[in-house]
Amino acid sequence: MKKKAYNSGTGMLTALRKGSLWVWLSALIWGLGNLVKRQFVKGMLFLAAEAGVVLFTVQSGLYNLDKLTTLGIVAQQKVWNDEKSIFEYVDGDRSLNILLYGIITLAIVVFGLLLLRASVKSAYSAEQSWKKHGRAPTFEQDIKALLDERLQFSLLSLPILGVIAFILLPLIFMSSMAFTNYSVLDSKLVLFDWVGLKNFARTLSMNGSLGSTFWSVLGWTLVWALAATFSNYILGMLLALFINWKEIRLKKFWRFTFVLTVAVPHFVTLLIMRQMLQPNGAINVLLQNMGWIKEPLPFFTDTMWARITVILINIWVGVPYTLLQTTGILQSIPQELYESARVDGANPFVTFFKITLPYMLFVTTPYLITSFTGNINNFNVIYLTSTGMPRAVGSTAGDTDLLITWLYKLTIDNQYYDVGAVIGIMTFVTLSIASLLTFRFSGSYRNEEGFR
Amino acid sequence: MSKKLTALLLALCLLLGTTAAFADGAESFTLRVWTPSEDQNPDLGAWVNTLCDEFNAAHPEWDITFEFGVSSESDAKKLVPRDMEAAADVFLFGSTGLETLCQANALTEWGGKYMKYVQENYPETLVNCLIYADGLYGVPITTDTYFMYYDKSVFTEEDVLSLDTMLTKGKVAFPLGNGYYLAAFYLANGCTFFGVDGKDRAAGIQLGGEKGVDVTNTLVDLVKNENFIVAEPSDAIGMMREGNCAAYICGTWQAAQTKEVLGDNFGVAVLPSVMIDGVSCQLRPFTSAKAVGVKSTTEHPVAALELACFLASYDAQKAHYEKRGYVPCQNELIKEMANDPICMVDAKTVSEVALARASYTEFGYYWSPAESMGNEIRDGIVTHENAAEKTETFTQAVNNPGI
Repeated sequence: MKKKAYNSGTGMLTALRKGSLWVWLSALIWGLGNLVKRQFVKGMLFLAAEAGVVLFTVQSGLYNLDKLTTLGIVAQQKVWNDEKSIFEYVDGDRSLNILLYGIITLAIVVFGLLLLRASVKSAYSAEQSWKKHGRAPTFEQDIKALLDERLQFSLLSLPILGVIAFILLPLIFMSSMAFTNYSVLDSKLVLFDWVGLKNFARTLSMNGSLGSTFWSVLGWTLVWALAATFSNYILGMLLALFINWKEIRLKKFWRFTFVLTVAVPHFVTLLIMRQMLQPNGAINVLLQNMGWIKEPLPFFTDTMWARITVILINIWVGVPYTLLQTTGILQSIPQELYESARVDGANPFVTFFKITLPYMLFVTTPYLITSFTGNINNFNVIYLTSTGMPRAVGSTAGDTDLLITWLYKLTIDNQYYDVGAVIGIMTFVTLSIASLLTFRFSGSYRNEEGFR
Repeated sequence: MSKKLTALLLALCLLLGTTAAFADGAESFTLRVWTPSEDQNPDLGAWVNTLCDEFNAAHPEWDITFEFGVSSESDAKKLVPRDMEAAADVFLFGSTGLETLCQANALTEWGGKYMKYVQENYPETLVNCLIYADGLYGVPITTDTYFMYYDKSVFTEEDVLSLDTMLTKGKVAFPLGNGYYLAAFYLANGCTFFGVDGKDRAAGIQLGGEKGVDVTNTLVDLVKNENFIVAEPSDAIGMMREGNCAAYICGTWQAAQTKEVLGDNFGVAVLPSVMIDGVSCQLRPFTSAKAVGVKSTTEHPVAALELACFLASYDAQKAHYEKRGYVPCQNELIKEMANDPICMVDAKTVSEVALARASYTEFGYYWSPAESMGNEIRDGIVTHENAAEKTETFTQAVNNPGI
């Protein structure tokens, strides 16, 4: 087992094993160990926290957890009030609210358990301190330590809390829908139930419309991500190389023009391109008026055309970024390598494949992985241009739909939230597998310190 | 010092006493109201704000503070059930979302004197759109259907009775790639959406068989016609402005713009007929109602119901027509406005031609396949050879959730 690089203090179990009775009692009454060793403020804080958690559990926590198991069964009730000539309603259970409160309660329970652990550890450390120095650190000393040698705790506490509250909990909430049947089908929008892994089975099966759509969309998503990432990368690099040649003049001007496309916001560019490439859009009308074509070109109406068109559009919006990236790296390659290669009689192709490309790949592998992950989830380029079209009659996903655009259509347009959540989880799984594999097998991982 | 203090205290008590006396009897509370943003736009007359103020003045027994929020009629079915506690007490919704709202238990049922009021003052077709499981759930404020705008200098009044005649004289834009409009052709030839009257859920959407194939074949031919343009209403009006289009299909929402473009040549007519397999068939649009609903768990049901009735009353609908072109649907007002061309065409469409659209959630399966089918017809992927097969796939797909 690797030795820890830092000292995280004694673990809870060690504390319980080696500590006195007070440490054990601190598990029941938080802060008792601190109070006994004259750490009054710390002890009172722990007690207050325990009071809060117990109060919450008794008042709503137990109720929420109980409801969470069934996700609610009580329907709305109405009573006719003849005097006022109105119906009076008593609202029943709403499963979505129950799910939300249940997950928040679980989070508070976990938080409570962490506080329990902290209380035990703190009691033990107070005891140890008393044995060693005859007294435990006072509150002022603790605060001073937090601002000095234990600064990492005070600085990181707020960001971690923010991440947990605004990223982790909503993520858990959304993902838990994958295990329910929350959907417009069978009117499960108000009261729905847990169904376990049934949605996953349906999505991953080879037969059935959902499964076959999923695998074909996944296949195209991976092809798209590879094609989009590498086309941008290679073309950006080639452009950077050309501009970098000694013979080319006005280097800054060329770089400026190619990066100009970044000045227009992507949204605008993509929407305009969508309009231009429609069957009755600007490009088709122009070509038809010039007599070059008779029928409009099927930019977004034929599968192959549509797929190639979105890749080309992505090159148009993405090359400026890779151009900038690679220009910077190209200029940092040591010139001696090129000179010695020229002395040895190597032509430009050999130089490229033996010097430039390996160096670039080594430096930009993490960037490529990020780019690949980003392209798997590249919502804008697909949704704003082809909108996933062309789509066969009877399918929910179009031929250029990525997992994420398909997820958007299933949830926003069709309200099949349970299937959407499953696809979200599958996207995450795909991304993790792809990134971990690529990073592991890349040179950057194996040889972190040096290049060659 | 103590004299000043006593004087101050006495003044305070006096002030509190008088305010208490004023507030005596007037129940004070807040009502949340959601409407489309245009109804709250001061440039367009702030329809709902003015009416709510009038309502408050007309009811001295209540002292209501209004909180306005934005939700278009089609969004209400998603926004209201999302968070019932934060949702509006009174909101506008489309009757096509009725089943969604009722299954979410979001609407109050109207009974007793309120139900009688709605049944006596509003057309039966629209009131029926708001009935779910034998209960009435709202009061209609306007219809939601579509017809045709045309250029009078290109088409005469006889021309616009037949699509084929129109195509010999000028360009007509039809949004084939949108299931809302595509259905007009299928309904024209007798295909059904949930039974002939639209109320048979088990019947499903039947767009196949010989009737369906004939429609598909007719559409394949129409698309090849130079004068038949496939374009959405928002694009068609741009084309009309440039002179590339002489008629297009749309609802009331683009009436003002079209009047602006065509000026004196502004014409509006019921949808034309089209020749399908040698028989002249009337194109049939969908109709539904936009209505005012009351949240089921509202804390002030009587005030909310009264406000809903007020927002759908004679004066309110008149103001709505003047400010936003919402065709009125209150019985007396309909009779008064019978001479207005748009109201006349709208009333004729609703009463004679249109199919009242069911709010079944199964209707939701129709839209994606219809968009795909319309696009395939437009792009020539559907031909006479494969029309039968494509129509069969189509009618299977519209009854299937697709997952």
